[in-house]
Amino acid sequence: MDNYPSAPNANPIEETATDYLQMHRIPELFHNLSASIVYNRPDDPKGFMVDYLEQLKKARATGLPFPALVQDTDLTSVFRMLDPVGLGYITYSQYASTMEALGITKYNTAPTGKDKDQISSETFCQEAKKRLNELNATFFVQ
Amino acid sequence: MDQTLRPLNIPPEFLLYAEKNALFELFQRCISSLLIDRPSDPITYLIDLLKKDSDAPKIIILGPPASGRHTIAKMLQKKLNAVLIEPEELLRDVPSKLRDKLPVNATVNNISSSLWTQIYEERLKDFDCSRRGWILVDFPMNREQTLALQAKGICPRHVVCLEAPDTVMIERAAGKRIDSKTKDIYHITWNIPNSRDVQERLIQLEENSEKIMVLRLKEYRRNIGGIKDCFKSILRSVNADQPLNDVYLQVYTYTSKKPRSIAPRTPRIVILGPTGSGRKTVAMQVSRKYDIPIVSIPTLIKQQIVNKTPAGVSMKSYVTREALVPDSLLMPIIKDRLNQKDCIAKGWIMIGFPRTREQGESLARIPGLAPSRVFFLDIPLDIAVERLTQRRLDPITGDRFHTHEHPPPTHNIKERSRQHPTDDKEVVQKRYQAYTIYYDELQDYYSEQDGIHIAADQDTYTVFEAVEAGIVNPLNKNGF
Repeated sequence: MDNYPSAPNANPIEETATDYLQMHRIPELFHNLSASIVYNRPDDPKGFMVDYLEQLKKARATGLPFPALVQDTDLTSVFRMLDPVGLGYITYSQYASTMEALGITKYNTAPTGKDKDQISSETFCQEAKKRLNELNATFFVQ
Repeated sequence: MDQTLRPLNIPPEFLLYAEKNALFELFQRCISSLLIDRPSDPITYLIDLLKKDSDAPKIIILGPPASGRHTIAKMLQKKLNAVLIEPEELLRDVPSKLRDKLPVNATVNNISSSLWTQIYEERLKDFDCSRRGWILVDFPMNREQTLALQAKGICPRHVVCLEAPDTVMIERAAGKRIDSKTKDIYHITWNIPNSRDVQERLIQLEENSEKIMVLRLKEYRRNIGGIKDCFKSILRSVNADQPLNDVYLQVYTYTSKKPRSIAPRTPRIVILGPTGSGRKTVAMQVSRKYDIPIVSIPTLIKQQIVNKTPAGVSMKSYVTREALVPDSLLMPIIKDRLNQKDCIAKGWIMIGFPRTREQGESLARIPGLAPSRVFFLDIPLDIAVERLTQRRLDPITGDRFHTHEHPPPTHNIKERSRQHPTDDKEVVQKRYQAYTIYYDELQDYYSEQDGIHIAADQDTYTVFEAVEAGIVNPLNKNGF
């Protein structure tokens, strides 16, 4: 849903439709919503969607946390899985592939500790949290 | 072992969940509403939309004068408890902000399309319309109004067009009477009012005289083509030249059906039938056309036996005795096969299973894998026998023939062609009987789930088309 082909003879009405959708980040909104539904499989999908959207709306206004599948505690658990021995560091390639596994495509490719190939838990969690917040803020900011 | 590299699979239970809750259609409705209205705050808009979203009916009824559309609309309104909107009534209750825009002597015919659309839009936004649904009669009256409605995003789910020849309409109009007090519609031949009081109040309207009817019909015929063109996929024509109740029944059946969904579905098809009914033939045709893998249970069993797997070894004794392999051995094998990637992604066509009601129940119990279509290929014993006993195989080239339909071309080939031992008449009869024993209980079990019966004694293409229609058309009221 993210790759609309930009054909030379694209229908003008279709263009403004895709512009509208992309400006308001509708594809990302439905992507996150679907992921939540797949994971939770609520008995009342419509009610669940309403709750999700209301939480998103409140978060947009007040800075309360966005609805998200991956929570902060999940990030620390992920780090512990990557560092079972407890060194306190992961390699850059682990960092990069975990970012992608979490669905984050744009991330800091030069985090602190890259030169020593030792990314700390703090660096990882902060960067992941920041990027996930961006992905979950599926609305248009003026 | 890097945990992040394990592939992610969506569980098959989810596909069933999505189908059951009509998630695809829900998302489709949300996004199309967003694109029609383009709100500046989609999140609030979506919250409202989801709260209001309902299966309330949205019906338009069209037809030539005197076709009974108002009568049908009223009957439908009573049954569905929707809001019935007629143009004359609507005109009388136009809200004040639009009233100023009306021309001086506003009648149904001299209002511009854009104004009409605004009036309808306002009315349809009312709470009772969005909750109970709406039925429009006599509107839109021409193509321009139709396009204006659609541009505003007012889209019915069902459009019914009553049809009948002009002469029938003129004749009917001649007998039409209106109760001057209640405005109810009666007819001196088909719908006489019961009470004497009402009978005395009846009057004949000028608009039903033959001269005026001819003009009205001309006007209708001029416009209806353009309107029908706009509603192509949701339009259903109903013959109005039948008794009222028949017309009503047809209209009601149509409006109760959900439109065919374009949601991606993985077809889970079971084809049942006695030996000689052409199951494998039909399965292969469907599989080839729609790229769906065939899961043949007898083949699966044979594979297990040949590969001498532990399950295969236990099953061998049952197979040699020609007894049914018990569920405890069979179900895990079937479950594994159906959970493989190609079946999950593309669906499956199953033949040779279930044979008994119990097996049917076990199949339905596998999470996420209950069949979505069950076909019974029905064929009488003698035709099955005829089909199979005339099969011949040429052992040298491997060509297959049928002595009646598709005979071997030369004498030499005919001489050397053999019959497969299982195609011997008595063997065929025995195999057929084996199916019939359990036929009744299977049919009973699947009749609750809308099993589809197809006459299999026709040529392969006809049977294939019938099966295809069964797969593609929505099975039940829920649209899938």
